[in-house]
Amino acid sequence: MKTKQKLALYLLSLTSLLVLWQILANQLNPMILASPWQTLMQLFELILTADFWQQLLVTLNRLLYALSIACSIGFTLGLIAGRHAWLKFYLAPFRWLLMSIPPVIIVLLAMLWFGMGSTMVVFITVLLLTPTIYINTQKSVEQIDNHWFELAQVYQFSWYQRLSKIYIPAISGPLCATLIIVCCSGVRIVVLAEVLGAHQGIGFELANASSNFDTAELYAWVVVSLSIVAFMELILLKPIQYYLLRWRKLS
Amino acid sequence: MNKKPLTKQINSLISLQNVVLTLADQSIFSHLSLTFNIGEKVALLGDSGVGKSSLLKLIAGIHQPTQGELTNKALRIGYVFQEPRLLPWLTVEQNITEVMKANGIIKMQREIKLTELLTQVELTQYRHYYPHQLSGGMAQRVSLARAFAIEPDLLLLDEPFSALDKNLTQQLSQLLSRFLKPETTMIYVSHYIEQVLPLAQSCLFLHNASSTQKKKFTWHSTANAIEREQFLKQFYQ
Ligand SMILES: Nc1ncnc2c1ncn2[C@@H]1O[C@H](COP(=O)(O)OP(=O)(O)O)[C@@H](O)[C@H]1O
Ligand SMILES: [Mg+2]
Repeated sequence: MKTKQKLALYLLSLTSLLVLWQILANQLNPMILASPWQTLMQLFELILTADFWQQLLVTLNRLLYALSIACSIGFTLGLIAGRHAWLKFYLAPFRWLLMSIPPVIIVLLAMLWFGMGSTMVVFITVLLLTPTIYINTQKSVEQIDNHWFELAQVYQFSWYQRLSKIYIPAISGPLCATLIIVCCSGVRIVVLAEVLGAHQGIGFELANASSNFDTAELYAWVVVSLSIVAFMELILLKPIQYYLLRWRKLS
Repeated sequence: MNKKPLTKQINSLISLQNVVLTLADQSIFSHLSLTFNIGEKVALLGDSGVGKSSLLKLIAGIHQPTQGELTNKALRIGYVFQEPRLLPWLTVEQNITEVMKANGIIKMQREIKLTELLTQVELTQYRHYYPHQLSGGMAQRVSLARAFAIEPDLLLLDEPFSALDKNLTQQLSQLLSRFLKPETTMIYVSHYIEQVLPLAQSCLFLHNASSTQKKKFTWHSTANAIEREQFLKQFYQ
């Protein structure tokens, strides 16, 4: 599809979302749902305060830490376990445990162990995201055609060449999908953890606005957290995806 | 039967002694002993499924012998697979260059060699193309260029042109004979004896993979038509 068409579709769906929001806001009590206009005005007010940027920075910082740690652990283990079945079997119970335990239990335990604050937020996010990255990487590496490893062996590829010329390009499709999933859920988990147990950050502000019945501010913070996801997809993930999959574009 | 004179042993590049190969509980070779000398050009023939590809993979180090001893003194191995096996996310140029990098060829030499090879396989204007933009013949030419880019001491060819039509096969065979150096050891697997004989000095006929039986016929490329016919008769017996 052409860029213009894509852009038009994006705008169309965004507009419908706004219209829907406005219609609902007209129907419902303003205590329950603030209108888009109120939210926007509140957002402007917030942006002008120094505190807003500080809270945003705190959340982004936690998100950055959590994503980096989760990605490094999940990707590295997945890469090795995709080629060496012993690690896959060894890690299977851990993965199963982490993926089946209700998140709320992890949250409660983390609060017990680390108290309120950044460590707890990052810990929870890493624990909830790592298995997803691991399992996606491991499964995709397992699917790589053995032909390429034969080639790499015969022609004596270095480990760096294997990584950059075989593993990463071969799994780039599922890798990009995983990155999108993980970044989006990362924002959601960080904000959730902040609501539950932090004195700073977007989640904390959300909880505050909610307990003060400041509906417009609540929605303004929701828009902020949505914008983080949108920002990451457009500025971070799209270029990575374009770079990794550029060879498929030419036909 | 496999004892060779000492002088030949010294020149040997690859030797297999009582090699046993078992893949997924299936016995492929039991007690296979063979020697390939430096510069020897061998045609490897045999029925489908007899273990020709497995032998090449064994020699290339892709398979490890289950038992027995295998020595391969080749430092650089060129391998042309049945399919071109070019990395789809790398261009023609990158596919050849990565292999040269892996084999420790420095940048300046890489560039000279690349230009030279692309000219010889007539793909200069396609150097920035991706494999899926090439025809089957072009891709196999790149694969051939890649194998020769590292100036291999051992060249392994596994039915390299079986997916191509007659004209292309002929064209690529010519390229192959042009590239091939006297000191390079070559093992060439093919279904078609006529295809390999012009390039090979001897034939290795593999049959009944699970037993120790094998025959090695020797045929010299300088032989006249009558000798050739005799050889072929013997071969097809
Ligand atoms: N990786 C493998 N695992 C198990 N069996 C294999 C494997 N590769 C080849 N074989 C078996 O080994 C035998 C020889 O195969 P191959 O070497 O490909 O024969 P050829 O190249 O002569 O046609 C076949 O019976 C095949 O099924
Ligand atoms: Mg074969």
